[in-house]
Amino acid sequence: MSHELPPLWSIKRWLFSTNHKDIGVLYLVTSLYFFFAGGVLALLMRTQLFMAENVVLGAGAYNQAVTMHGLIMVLWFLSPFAFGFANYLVPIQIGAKDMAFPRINALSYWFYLVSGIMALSSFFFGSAPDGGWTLYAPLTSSTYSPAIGFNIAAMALLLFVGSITMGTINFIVTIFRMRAPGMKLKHMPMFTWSIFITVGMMLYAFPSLLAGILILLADRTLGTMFFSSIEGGSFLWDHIFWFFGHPEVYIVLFPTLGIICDIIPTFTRRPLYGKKFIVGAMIVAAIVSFIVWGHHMFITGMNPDIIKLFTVSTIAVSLPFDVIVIAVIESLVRSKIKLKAPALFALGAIALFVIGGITGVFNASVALDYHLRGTYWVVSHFHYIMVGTSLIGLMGGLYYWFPKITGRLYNEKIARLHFYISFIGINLLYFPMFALYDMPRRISTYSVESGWQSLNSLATIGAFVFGLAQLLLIYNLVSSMRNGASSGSDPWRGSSLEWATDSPPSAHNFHKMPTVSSSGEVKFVNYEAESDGVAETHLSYWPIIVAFAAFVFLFGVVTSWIILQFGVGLGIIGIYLYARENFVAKEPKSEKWPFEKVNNMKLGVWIFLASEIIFFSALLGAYIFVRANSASWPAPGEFLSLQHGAINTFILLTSSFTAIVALMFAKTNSRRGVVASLLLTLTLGIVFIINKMSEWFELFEHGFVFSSGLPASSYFLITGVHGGHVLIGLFIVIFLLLRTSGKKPVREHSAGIEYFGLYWHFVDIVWVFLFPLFYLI
Amino acid sequence: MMKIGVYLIVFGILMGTTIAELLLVGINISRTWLIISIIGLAGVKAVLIAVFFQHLKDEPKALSTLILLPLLGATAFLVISMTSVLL
Repeated sequence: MSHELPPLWSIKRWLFSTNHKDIGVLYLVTSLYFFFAGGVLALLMRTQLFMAENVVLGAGAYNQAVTMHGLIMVLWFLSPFAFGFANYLVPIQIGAKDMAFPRINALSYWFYLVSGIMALSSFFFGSAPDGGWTLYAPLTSSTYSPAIGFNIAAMALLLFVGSITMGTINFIVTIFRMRAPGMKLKHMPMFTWSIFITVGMMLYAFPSLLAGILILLADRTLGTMFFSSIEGGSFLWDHIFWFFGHPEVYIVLFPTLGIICDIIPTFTRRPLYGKKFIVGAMIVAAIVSFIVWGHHMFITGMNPDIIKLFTVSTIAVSLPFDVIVIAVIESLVRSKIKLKAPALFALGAIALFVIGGITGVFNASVALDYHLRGTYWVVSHFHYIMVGTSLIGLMGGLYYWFPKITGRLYNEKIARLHFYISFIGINLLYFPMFALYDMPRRISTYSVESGWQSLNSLATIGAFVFGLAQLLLIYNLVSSMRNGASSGSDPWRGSSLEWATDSPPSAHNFHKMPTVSSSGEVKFVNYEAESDGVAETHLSYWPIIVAFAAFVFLFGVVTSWIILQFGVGLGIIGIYLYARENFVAKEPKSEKWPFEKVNNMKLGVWIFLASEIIFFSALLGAYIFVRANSASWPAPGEFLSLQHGAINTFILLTSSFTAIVALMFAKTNSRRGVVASLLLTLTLGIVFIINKMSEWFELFEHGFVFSSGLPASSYFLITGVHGGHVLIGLFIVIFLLLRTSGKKPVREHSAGIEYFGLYWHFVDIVWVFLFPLFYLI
Repeated sequence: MMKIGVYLIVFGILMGTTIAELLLVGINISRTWLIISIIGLAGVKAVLIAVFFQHLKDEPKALSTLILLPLLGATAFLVISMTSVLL
């Protein structure tokens, strides 16, 4: 394959490009598509609620619309839209040529696209999810949501989390290890800072959603009983979901705050006030966001002491945001801000954030929350943050960077009109909802006597005003892309690195290498000549094929055995060829603190393992939760054979030892030693699986299946997931054996063996805890 | 990279602690102490694997922090979710 990027009009480029700017554009365009899909669903809902006792949508259709609107807007629009900018701009803002893992970047995008298509397709399989975007148990159980469409949407969520995990790892490694020489973390622009903190939250929040969805799917398809039992039930789901759900709000919000903090200094022509404090406040808010989830559960009958803890933490988490808002306002005081469209959107977003933020603090009070929870008050508060702040801020970013991405200026008059109409529409839409604090959310209709009609009608008019305003955006973008005046490289006189290069930038972003002095001054020096004469690669066929295979596989899991097999076959071929591809992505001379001694790939593996810790912790947390709430539980040896568990522990510990021996042999270039120790690791892994399977079959013979109570449910699910990890490890060993039997000196494979080892030892550590939890206590 | 002797010693300790876990089940101690001892031993094994087999000992402290953060999050999740139920 050619190393050069095909021209912009080439379909080949948009299917196979791994360049971060192309991926960024793909994210932006795709997320806008999901914005309009989710928007249409919102307009349908608002049409239904326009009048009392309306019959535009039936209750079932309304529930599907409200659920899919929430899921699409939060997951498939807002975050990916921000990450369109992040993909395009973060490498440029830090002076890098591309992301750390360009192919994984492409893979992440294609997973995102196919997951969105899969989620939307659920409408055509009986019914899309209809229990609200929070997917509360037991509404999502097969009893209340029997349609296959739900399973398809759940599979889509699994794919989506896969996309997020890959993207997260990529951004963290890129920001840590690809910064221009001399660029300290403190020199990074606010947008890059905001993405850095956001991906940190994503890394630790999304695995909890993954675990929750996996358990839910097991409940629905295999008959496990986590969310259908009284010991787990809705309470367990709430904990797992909101451990992800509350950080998710900040995940959606932070990129917008970063954009605002980049826009305001540009248009006020003076530095941002208190940048250090804003970054510090964001980090504090990100950490505290993981201990506030319980405020979504105040009315569940939770332990009052824990409620107090969450009240305090919820009030505490509002303080860093006060710091951010004050710093932004201070940046504006006595400034002569140029009110171009990006600045208008930034100011609008901050104003709406104040409304959305203050109305959220009310819910920290248990007494108020008791009355406001589940009403339109919360809908309004939430949308002032999601739409008023996040979306409006992101729109500001779109106008801000449009000239950089296209090389053309947008139509300023239409952009301002877009802002004013959107701003009016949003307030017309959401402000009346505060007055509907006595109207339950998620009801498909209401009576005339309720007195809610006039406010609902007003909100619906606002929704259409806001929706129609977005047509101005599309018209402006499309027409300006064709006919807009040339923007030059820096139309705003911006200070961050993206304004120091062409619009749009070249394939490698800069003609000369940016370097940063300790005072933050940027200089450009010639890039060092390629010592090996090998150019970097920008195209790969395999990310789209692997993503398609994953799509087919998961679709097959729900629908058809033949489709599943096709997906497996395509996936194995795709992953093998992906791994074998001679793709060149170099580690440039760059600032790498604090990971100077850990290369990109190794750091990526460690970050992945960090996310796996949360994933397995959520699974084990569910197990411990249901076990602690059960009146009785089988004693050790009563249900599971101690012998099987002990043998597998010795086997896995030994395999960890043989894996480390393989690495030692690789370092000393002993091919026979590497092959022998890897073969031993493979054999031990296979014996582990055989022993596990024989244990499962023995249990089946004794009448224990997935649905035989919580002990069986938790054992089968969690050891099954662990067994899946062992299997993946065995495939990697087979791949390593194939590679190490080639002609290359085996020393050159030592890095691959080390990365495998990191994963394999982690799988071992998980078992180290599973063994006592299931067999000994 | 460490010497094979170090790995052998760690491997030996891992096997030994597993045997100790099995022996603990058979002796007559309170359930609370049994749980604390066995989970404690599992923790020791996990740390040994991470520090020596995954070479966390030789890596920058930032990497250990990267791993400790989710452990703290997981601990918060476990403790709060467990104590949130009124028994």
